[in-house]
Amino acid sequence: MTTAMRAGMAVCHICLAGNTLQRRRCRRCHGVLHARIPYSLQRTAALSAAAAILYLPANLLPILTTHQFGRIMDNTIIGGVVNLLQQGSYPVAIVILVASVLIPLGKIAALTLLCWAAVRGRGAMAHHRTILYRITDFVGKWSMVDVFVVAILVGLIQIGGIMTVRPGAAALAFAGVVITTMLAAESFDPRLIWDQEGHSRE
Amino acid sequence: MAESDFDHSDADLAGCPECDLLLHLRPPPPGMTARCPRCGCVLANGIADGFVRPLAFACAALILMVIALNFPFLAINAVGQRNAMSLTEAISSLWQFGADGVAVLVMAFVLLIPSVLMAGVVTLMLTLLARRPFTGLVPLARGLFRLDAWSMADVFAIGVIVSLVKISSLADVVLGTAFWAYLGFAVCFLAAITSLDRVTVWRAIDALRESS
Repeated sequence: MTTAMRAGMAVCHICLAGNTLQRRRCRRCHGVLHARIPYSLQRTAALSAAAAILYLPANLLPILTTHQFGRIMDNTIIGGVVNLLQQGSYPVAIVILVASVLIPLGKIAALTLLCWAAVRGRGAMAHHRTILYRITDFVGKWSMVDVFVVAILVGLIQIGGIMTVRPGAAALAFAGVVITTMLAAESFDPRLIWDQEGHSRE
Repeated sequence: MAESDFDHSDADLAGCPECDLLLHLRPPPPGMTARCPRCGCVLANGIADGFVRPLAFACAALILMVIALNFPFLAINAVGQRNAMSLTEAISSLWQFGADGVAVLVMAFVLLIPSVLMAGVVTLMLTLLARRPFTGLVPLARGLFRLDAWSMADVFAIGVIVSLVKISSLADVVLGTAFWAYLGFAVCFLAAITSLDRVTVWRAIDALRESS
């Protein structure tokens, strides 16, 4: 088994064609080629840090403001989960808890771990790290659920004078968390995990 | 294996995008999956009627999207008042209440990107079936495979179901035509995307370019 890099080649991440390293664009799909994504770990670490910072306003500020019979109520994400639990809607409460609270935190932790292991690791558990990367990449967009819930509630619950719902500042911050973690996962080059395995065997 | 073992102009010469293993890759027969022997990454899926199936689902998705945009999505009845909303009204009320950034993102992820992707799949599949290449075919195909990750039709469908549960304690919710149309869109969208295999598509584009 040989890697493309050791054979003096670069794999196109769009169409998977093998290209000689001299080429700047793929012979088949003309996409830009990189033997490894440039500054992959720096980009992933920086975007994960940005996501961690945005996570604070996303959870501390209200995601929705309800005006009901002249009473104004701010709702945070956690507050929404608590409300759903009190209503007895356990499955939906769990969906929101997982999608909005646990997945973003888990993604930031997983990307940090992957970056750290790519620098310090000895190529151990490359398979496990690849699976962690795939999960991180796959769950990425699912955290957007809460932002879409806000969009629907704001559009629908507008009953003049009785009950209206307004979007809160946390909605944009939360969308920012999702987008930065998606970009962070996209900038991480999983080939770095496997480069170390080669070293440890040689 | 030494470098000389590989013919650099070989059309089958490919690599695993996750672990960089160099290998020879051809579209697998229908129902079979090609996986990387080193890391297990799925490289290609063999799909029967690999161009007709995505074409059919993408056409259905586009029709359903037109319906979803032009009919009421949801309505509520509470204390003798009724409020109906379409998908575009949901986005414009976000904008109206100052969440313009969120409005733009929702429009892009839920309506724009998925629709553009489906229109792109229809164009690409028709081109491959008719064997008539045009300039811009290669950038179009490349764009489709890159946009894929940023389409959130399926996530929005789950978001709608969560919203229904949240609202059901406050008011009666009426499901509109567009609600069912969008759910159908999400299903057809996923069916079209999962029946689209990048290795099969790029090999077909290669063949088209060679013959023209």
